[in-house]
Amino acid sequence: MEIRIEQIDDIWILMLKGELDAASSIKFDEAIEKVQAHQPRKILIDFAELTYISSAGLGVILSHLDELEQRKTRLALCSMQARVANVFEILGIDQLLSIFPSRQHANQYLNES
Amino acid sequence: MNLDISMPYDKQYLSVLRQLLTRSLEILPLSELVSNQVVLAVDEICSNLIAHVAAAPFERIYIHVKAEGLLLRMEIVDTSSKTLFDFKNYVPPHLQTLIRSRRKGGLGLRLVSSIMDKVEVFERDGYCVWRLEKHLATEKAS
Repeated sequence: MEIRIEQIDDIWILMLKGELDAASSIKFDEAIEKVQAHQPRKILIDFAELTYISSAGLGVILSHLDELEQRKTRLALCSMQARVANVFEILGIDQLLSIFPSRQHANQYLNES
Repeated sequence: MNLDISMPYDKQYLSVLRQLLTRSLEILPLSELVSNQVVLAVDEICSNLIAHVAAAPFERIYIHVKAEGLLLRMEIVDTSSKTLFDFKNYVPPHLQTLIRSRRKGGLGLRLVSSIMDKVEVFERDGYCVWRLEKHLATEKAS
């Protein structure tokens, strides 16, 4: 899996590419930690090029939610392929997160505050 | 359809396992979403076995996939452990509990239970066997 990190204005963006599973979840966790170190106000995770996710990837996201909430960091996820979105839906995790169909929708949400 | 795969207790091989399973399932009347779910369920069990194995440089995980009529049955044989996992009495942690504890694990078996119609864990020939069953739809969804 490849992860690209970009900062556009006050939004830190993680772009995921490939497959996020038990083998690659450590890399994903490290990328979030790296972004968190900058104490960002807004984080966007772009799933457009992610073709697979397992519970290991979901677990990484959930494990950071408490800290994000305490730091009042806004998190948005966007552009999921159907098979990836389906995994979030199976566990009801889509109800706990702000998930948007496109980068544009996610940016609008993040820039609301 | 009958398929037998074996893999080492190594996370780096999960991707190959998924590719093999995905290709093999193409002949069945499964939508892309359901096919991904079935592959995910097997991936989750194998990931769990790999995560909990102490040291198994020579042992392998054996995966048998069989489709009979509208029933898809997969058996995952854990050759590294003689201990049966008590799946019947397993209660997955609540999502809010996982979030507050900042734990990264704990979702895999919940996913498997949600995806499969039946999950059993039993002993055969001294090894722990995970049996997953899924009833297939009669038509392939678009």
